[in-house]
Amino acid sequence: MVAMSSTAVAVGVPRALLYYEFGPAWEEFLTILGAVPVTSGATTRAKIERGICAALDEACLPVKVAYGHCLDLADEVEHLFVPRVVSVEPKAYSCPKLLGLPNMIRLAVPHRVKVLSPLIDLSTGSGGSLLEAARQVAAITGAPSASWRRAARCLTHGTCLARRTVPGQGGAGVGRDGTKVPRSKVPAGGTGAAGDGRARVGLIGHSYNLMDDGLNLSLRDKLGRLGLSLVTPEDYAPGETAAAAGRLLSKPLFWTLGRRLAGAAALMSDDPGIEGLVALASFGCGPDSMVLELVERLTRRLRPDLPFMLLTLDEHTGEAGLLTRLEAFADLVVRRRSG
Amino acid sequence: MMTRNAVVTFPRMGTAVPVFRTILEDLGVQVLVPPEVGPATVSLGVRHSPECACYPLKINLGNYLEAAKRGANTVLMIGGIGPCRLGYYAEVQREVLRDLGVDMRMVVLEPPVRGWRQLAQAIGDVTGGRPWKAIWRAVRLGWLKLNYLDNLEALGHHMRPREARRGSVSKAIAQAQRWMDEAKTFSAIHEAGHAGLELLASVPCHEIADPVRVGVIGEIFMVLEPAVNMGCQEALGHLGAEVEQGVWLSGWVRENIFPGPWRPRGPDSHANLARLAAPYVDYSVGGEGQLNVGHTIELARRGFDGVVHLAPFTCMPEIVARTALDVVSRDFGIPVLTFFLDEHAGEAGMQTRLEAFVDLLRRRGHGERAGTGS
Repeated sequence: MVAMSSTAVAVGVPRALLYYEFGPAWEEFLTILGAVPVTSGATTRAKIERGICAALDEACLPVKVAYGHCLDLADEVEHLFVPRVVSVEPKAYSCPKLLGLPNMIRLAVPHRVKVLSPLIDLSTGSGGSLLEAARQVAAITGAPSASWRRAARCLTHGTCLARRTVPGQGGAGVGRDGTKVPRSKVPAGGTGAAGDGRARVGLIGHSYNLMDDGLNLSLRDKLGRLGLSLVTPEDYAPGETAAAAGRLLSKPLFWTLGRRLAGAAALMSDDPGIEGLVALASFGCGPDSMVLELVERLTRRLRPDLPFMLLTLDEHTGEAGLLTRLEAFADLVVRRRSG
Repeated sequence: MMTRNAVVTFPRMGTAVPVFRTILEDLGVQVLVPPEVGPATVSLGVRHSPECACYPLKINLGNYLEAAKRGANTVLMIGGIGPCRLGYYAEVQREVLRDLGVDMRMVVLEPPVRGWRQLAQAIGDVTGGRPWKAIWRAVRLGWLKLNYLDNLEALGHHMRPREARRGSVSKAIAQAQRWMDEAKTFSAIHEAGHAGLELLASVPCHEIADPVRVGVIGEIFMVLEPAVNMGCQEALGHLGAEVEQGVWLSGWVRENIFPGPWRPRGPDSHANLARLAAPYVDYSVGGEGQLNVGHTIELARRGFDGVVHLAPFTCMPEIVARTALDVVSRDFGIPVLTFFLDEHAGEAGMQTRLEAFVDLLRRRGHGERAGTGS
């Protein structure tokens, strides 16, 4: 066993984008197939700078951050794991940039680095493509075919939204958790303020923006310091948000993450205990530009008095400007309470 | 279902305008074509659209608002199933119109991937329940017109660098389009089409041995609508470049609406373009993203001197395409000039860049020819 582990293939896993949804499942998948997953560290300014230089100017910040993680990993390992996550539920997909991510990364890293990008497509409900994903990785690691099915099952389990009934599993355990309130600790029924008397504010956005403190300039921490307790889309079960999105929107959204945050926004604005809504978008994000616009318009009709703030992040966002806006928002929420 | 006094409008997109008008008017629908896209359209659309939405959404909205002012009360728009944003345009636009208090109904033609009922209902709705036979006739009428209009423009792109007097080709095309606009029957369309092509062919031209050849590809709206791409194809022609436009509405219909066996199979068919693109982008990323990569390779193989790539700012599929085009350009030795356009793009800036690009291609071509000749 010792001899085997010394020759085991190290596979880099960028801590970016959908890692914040499915990372643990990916790592387990690779481990079952005999690879050693090497996950990149937290997002740093240096990684962001590296990503900015390598990616197209027009790409969104999270994609640039992913470039940074991949290029850093490419210095150390010969293989990168960048699956092409097409769909994790019926009739909904990732955004086009995520569909093209493996291609963009392959063109950016040195030729010696092999990018493993198995197709993850559960749009038709069958996990058939995942066995193929296992076969692709096994071709590198030489894992016996007996383990493929188990690996594929683990990948299905970790990525299929319908099966993820425990809120936050996969996603929530990933980030450095400072202020996030797991659903179990939210007061039952969602009425009234958080247990500690702090104002409860909904924070919606894609998990890779919300949970990456390096990318979002420690947004959750900043909001926490301003005396706000946060509820995020990850605090609701996927089934719950999907149903709420269905009620809010007249046509089903075809982006999985958009569907989740539209549903979360609907649930939050239905909850009288939520006293404000902060939406975090990336500049140039296609789904955000549509979904958050609709969320703002539709929640305003449901709760005209709910304070709503849209934060748009890119690599030029300054910490001071962000803080000023957050302070103003927190002041507004607190003042409405006493008023 | 449809109120008797429905006045239908639709977004402007190049040759789609006369075609939609022909189809709807043949079915007895009262049509109000939005005015041509101008500064007022852009400013209205931009003011009321989401800031980071892509440019076509903003222009569409400007079209609706201008049409509403002139009396339109129904919008005919297409839907989609993603992952490109276009599929959700109508939903956002409907809510914007509602919040503005503009009383317009949106009829959305959704692709029939989940059954035909919804599409049939929408068509019945907008046509006032006309029989399918009448609808089929109207669609064939529109299709015939579209083919003539696209052929006319394609021929124009070929002739512009050769015209003896600058602007005479565009003038002839405009005249032919006016004739086509008035044609309302099959025979009238054939007549107008032939007359238009003859008129264009009679424009005095010089012989040029070896013009610079440029492919114009990109996102379909940006390629087809001259008001948003600032007449890119015409400008290239006036700079002496022979233009081959890679995206056409008639081509889109052949690839996406024709039943399988009738779809194109040539070297620039979508199937072949996707195959060519595979080493760079091996998955359809929505819109025209993957096809544009394939198209650039196909143009390079046919000896084109350069490619101009048009896309809306923040367009997701085209961002993937552009990333790959950097490498394709290097691998195949074909210069690619990309314009990501939105309301901030200026005509003079584009003109300057196109001039520099054509100069570069011309100089490069001569150098290469001299090199290979010796």
